[in-house]
Amino acid sequence: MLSRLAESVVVVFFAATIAFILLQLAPGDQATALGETVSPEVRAAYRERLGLDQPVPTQYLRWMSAIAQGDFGWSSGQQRPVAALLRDAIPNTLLLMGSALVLSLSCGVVLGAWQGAHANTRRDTAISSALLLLYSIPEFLLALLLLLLFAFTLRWFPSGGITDDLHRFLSPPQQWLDRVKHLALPLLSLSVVTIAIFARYQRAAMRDAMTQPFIQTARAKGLSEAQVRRHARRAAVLPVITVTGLLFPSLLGGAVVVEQIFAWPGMGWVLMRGIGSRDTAVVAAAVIVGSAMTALGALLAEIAREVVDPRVRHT
Amino acid sequence: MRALLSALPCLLLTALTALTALSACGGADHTASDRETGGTLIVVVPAEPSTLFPPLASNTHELAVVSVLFDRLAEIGDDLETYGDRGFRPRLAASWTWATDSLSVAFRLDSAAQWHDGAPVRAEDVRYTFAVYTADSVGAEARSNLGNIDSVTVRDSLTAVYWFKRRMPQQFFDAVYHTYILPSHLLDTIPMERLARADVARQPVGTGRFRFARWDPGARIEVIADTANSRGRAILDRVVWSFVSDLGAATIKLFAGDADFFEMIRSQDLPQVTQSPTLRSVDNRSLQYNFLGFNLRARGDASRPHPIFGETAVRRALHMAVDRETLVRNVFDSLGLVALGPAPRALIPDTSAFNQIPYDLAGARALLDSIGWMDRNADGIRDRDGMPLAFDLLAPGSSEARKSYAINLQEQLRAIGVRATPLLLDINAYVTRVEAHDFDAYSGGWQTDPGLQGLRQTWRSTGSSNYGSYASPVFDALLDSATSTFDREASRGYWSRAFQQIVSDAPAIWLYEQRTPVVVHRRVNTAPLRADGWYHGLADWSIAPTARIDRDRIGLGSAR
Repeated sequence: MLSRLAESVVVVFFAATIAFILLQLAPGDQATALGETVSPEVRAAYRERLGLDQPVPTQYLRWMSAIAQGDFGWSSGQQRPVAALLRDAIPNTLLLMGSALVLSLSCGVVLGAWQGAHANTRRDTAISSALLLLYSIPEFLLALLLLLLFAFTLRWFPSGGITDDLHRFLSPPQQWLDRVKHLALPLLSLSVVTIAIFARYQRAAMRDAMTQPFIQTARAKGLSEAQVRRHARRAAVLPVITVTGLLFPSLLGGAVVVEQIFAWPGMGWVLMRGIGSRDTAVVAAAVIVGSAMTALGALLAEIAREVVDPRVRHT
Repeated sequence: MRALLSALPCLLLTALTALTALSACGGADHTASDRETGGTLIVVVPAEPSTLFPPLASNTHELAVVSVLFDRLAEIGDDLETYGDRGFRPRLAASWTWATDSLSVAFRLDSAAQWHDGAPVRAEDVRYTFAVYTADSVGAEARSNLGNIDSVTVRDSLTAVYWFKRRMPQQFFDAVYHTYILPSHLLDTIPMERLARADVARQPVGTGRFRFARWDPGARIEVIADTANSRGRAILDRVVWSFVSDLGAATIKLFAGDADFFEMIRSQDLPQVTQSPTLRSVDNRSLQYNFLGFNLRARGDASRPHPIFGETAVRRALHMAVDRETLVRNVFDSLGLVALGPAPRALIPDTSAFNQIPYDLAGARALLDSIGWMDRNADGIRDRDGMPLAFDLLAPGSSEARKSYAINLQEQLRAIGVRATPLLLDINAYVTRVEAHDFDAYSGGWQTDPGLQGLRQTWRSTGSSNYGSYASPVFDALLDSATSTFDREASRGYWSRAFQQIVSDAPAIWLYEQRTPVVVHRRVNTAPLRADGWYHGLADWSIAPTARIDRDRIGLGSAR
């Protein structure tokens, strides 16, 4: 476990360093991001104040030593400590991603298990085709379509934000409903693709499980079909756990797009804003948090596999 | 004055209406009931402000909030006149008195003015404000505009005196326009270099008719009417700036009725606005102009002229080959105007006093022929001494209008045997290259302050933002004379000659001024939108009680 943690730290370190280098290689800096109408004098003063006129290795060492002391630095683009930005954004992203994961897992596993047990029937084929279609829709397009249909045309859901602009004037039940309504469209945008992924994996795993000798044994012992499927589902859950770990990065990536479109103030929103303003401290912190979340996801998936499958535990 | 006279009958009518409590004055004029306080305005903006500390507020979204929370000493008139103090209205200063030599002006503060925390506004605040705006460690953008102010002193608790280095026609404008007065009693214990990071940068305490209510990071900023304001509370109860970074999503929020005001509507969405039963568009003049700038010096060696654009005749020929009217129609339809020179026409003293380079394809061809640029190898591109008449045209890819212009210009210039290759760059890459003078031609644009002082920075030979290195001693001299003479007629003359000089020299092709209508909910009565910022009259916007919707009835009450 300790070695895995150490590996995660190394991964996070390299991810942050690469992010820093890429930002340095990109044209412009925080000063150019002030816009084209700013005078060169103001830009120069800005560079001097932020230390952007220092050699890159100096900037890197200064930044890295601050990170090592737990100081993520100051966001020049948002004029706030980066730690405060993260404190605001991480819970929002976790809420969105966590809900998306729960929804995707529950729908995907149920759907996939049903398909696996009824493989090659007409319903299975229809569901597979529908899932393939959903899987192939880019998240940004799906998000815009949902926005157009449910926020603009039907007006069933709000067009964006985490709460209504006048949320604090609503009664507590209304506030709760308001949060749910604001979560609905981003959640759906982020979940649809992962539901399709989970369902496809679960279907394949279920089909494999249904052909295993222990299933034939169960049938031979006279267990009902429902009991047989329950046995098969336990065996089929392993690949899904693995996929869950692997899906973390793509969920995070999807969150970046969805947060932008739905004005959801999470990590993706912070990251995009940081990139736009060449805000090195923010981008690096977002990369660190993103890679840490990914590493944590992989670690949790690994632990879950060990818990579920004794064979993994003993190898 | 002419505008005032023409508006007089309607003003009188409105006053009579209010007195007799009868509803009359129709159209966009406000009836007495319209002016009843109350209502909520939700403004959707594509970016969150990074600070509400006035010296560091620079973009429109920051300035909009800052301008409703803070006050200047005096406010410029709607005609944006910057000569002397004519047209300026008292704001924090109740009155002002000039010294006989005009080298100082004493501002008498409104004795009833107070900060939103209840502290009185004092002359020390004015002195402190000047110190902050001019401090190296603060880095205020406005600092360069305060160079003619020597110091600010306190005569008594309600009188602050501005001392100028020399008499200039725009010295009053310089003194009052660029600075919002700051609360010294809250700030003066904080080291200057820490002010940007202080709490007041995110929870500002000002003197405006709106006061700060809350800032939900990543979501919104809310201001509410300051009921204790000496100039009277804002008519609306509340304004919320709601952040939606995706333009499409922001537009949907507006059309869905979740927002009331949007400044950055895309032209393709405007027809839908006209069909909307709840929205209307309002013309919004802006002080910007766009151009195709030429680099007059060689790339990589500023001591030599540019091999193509170093020659005035080439630049004039290219200018003659561009049909600017057609370009404006193609790209903006009715939402654009041909730019006349290096300033928006709203600021040019007399637009008819100088001549434009005409659109003349045959003349352009003849001019290029006459100076030796001819198509000798029949490849469709002119050449001279073995060098083709070809260049790169830098444009920021983020601007749809400039992208369209770059492509259209490429086509129009091809007609006279010139190959212009558009290079659409990320905005940071674009700025980096333009600032480094690493370009042949670039699609540029300037947003200007009232007055024409900005020309010194952008087109004078010594101007730091004169990226094309245009250098004309005649233009420089005319510019200096125009901005320093106290004789208004003489100044107009100098300006006309200066514009004629730079238009004739063609360091750029003056392309367009964009009209940028804003979209607002029909129930909202707007004050006239000022060209230097739609938000300046926000405290006078209103919503008639009969037109109010649920969110207008919240009142100033506290949250649940």
